[in-house]
Amino acid sequence: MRKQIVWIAVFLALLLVPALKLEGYYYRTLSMIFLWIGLASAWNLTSGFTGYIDFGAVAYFGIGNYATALLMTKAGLPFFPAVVISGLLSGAIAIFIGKHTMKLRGAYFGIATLAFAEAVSQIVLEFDRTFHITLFEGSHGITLPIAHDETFFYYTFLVVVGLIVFVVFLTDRNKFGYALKAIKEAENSAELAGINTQRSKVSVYAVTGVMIGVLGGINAYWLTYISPLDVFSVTHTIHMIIMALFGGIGTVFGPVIGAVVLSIANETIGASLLYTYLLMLGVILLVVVIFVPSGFIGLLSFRRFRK
Amino acid sequence: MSLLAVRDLKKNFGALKALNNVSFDLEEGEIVGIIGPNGAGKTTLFNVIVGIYRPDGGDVVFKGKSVRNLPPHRICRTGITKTSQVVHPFLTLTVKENVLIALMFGRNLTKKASESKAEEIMEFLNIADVKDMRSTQVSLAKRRRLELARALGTGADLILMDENLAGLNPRELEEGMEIIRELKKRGKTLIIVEHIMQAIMGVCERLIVLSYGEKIGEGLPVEVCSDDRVIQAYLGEKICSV
Repeated sequence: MRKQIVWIAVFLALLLVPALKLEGYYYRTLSMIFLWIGLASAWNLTSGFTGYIDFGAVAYFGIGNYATALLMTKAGLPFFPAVVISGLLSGAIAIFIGKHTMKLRGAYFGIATLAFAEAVSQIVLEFDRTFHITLFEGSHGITLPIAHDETFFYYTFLVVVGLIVFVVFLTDRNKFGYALKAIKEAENSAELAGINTQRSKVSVYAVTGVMIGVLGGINAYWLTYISPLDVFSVTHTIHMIIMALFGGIGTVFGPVIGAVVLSIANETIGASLLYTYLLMLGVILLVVVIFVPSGFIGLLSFRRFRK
Repeated sequence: MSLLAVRDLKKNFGALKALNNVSFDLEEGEIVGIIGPNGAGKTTLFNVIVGIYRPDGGDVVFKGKSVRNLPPHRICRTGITKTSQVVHPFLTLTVKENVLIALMFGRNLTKKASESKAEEIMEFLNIADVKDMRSTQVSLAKRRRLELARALGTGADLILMDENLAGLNPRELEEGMEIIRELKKRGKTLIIVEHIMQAIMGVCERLIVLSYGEKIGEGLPVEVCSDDRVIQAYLGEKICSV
């Protein structure tokens, strides 16, 4: 219980940060950290809880980006309705993809989702050239209207990401969460215990799709310029996976910690020494997978357990 | 009307006929044993009945309705589940959480409503002392009980027990047999696959013998185990006399 109070205090404190009237750089950095907390947590909700490791999560991020960009620039919708529709669209696509891919187990699910993400990226890249119309703008990318200041995105990310983490928190202790954990541990036993495994898997995948889609939508308006190679980059998926693994896959706050630590590392080391940073990521991944498979959070609870 | 009617059940794995026209009936409250050599199709029969495998022919009728082609969770909710030969608990969850999951989903209860029933089931199966341990940390005997606890948790009327007594010491075995008798008193219907003839003879009211996917015998335990075909196919020697 004390742990929850700490997290709520952190959230409330973050709400008050703009009162300090910091420079724009700090808002941008914090917004970026929030974005990654959201992405890693959303990824963890499906992959951490059910054990179905999604290597194509960036697809929903890109779909969210493009849906919001198109709805705002071509349909003239305001930002908030555009983001909501983007999230729903992303979730609907996740239901369709999930229905077909979540029958696959282990690496096959990973391969299928990776292929899906690459396919969507290629479609967005080549669609206009193939059909001789102007929709996705291919590799030119899309420019969105610039309208808001830094604190607007700071708050938008903070509230949305707070909600995402809260949903993960609830799922960790409710009935639906138990279905997901049972699927992760022993899928046949889960069926024998009366769990509709297919529906549970597709449902959680859709929720993850909505979350990542919404984050993508906010990202598009925040950056004001998006291109397929950027928003569909497979490194985004890899970051989500590494952050979740580093902090503690399948836990509520593990991905939050992982996202904070690695975002800051990316911002400091990654900006100046890109290759050192990438090398570091690789080493971290190896060490975590081999020595602390339960991640940073697992390390903490293990120590408590031994006392 | 019988509780369960298995009709001409067929299941092939490639050219292997794992089940070939197996038929039998089961009355409510019966304890029926299935015996037969390794590879006879006992576990396959269970997996077809609970919906893990789809049959290639025949039908499974439970409470008057065909459950053929239903997924396992639907079959579970109509009232059939099984305990597995190789125990597959939800490993990183506690014993209690394992039982809670069966109660929540098998009977469609809330988490709160499941709590007291879980305690009761764990008490009955004598695993309440390890309820907060992870299921990886408990002994094989208790893990087998946990399988049974999950099966009871789902509220199934018919429980298929696949070698739930294997690998237990004599005292645990005696306890296991006592639990089976108690389950019958509570109105459960059981099909038991077991190699320990002592246990089979001690609790079963009727035996079905499978060999190479076919039913080669059925009847009272004493009749079946003095049947020459059964002795030849499985028992090897005469272990009882009429």
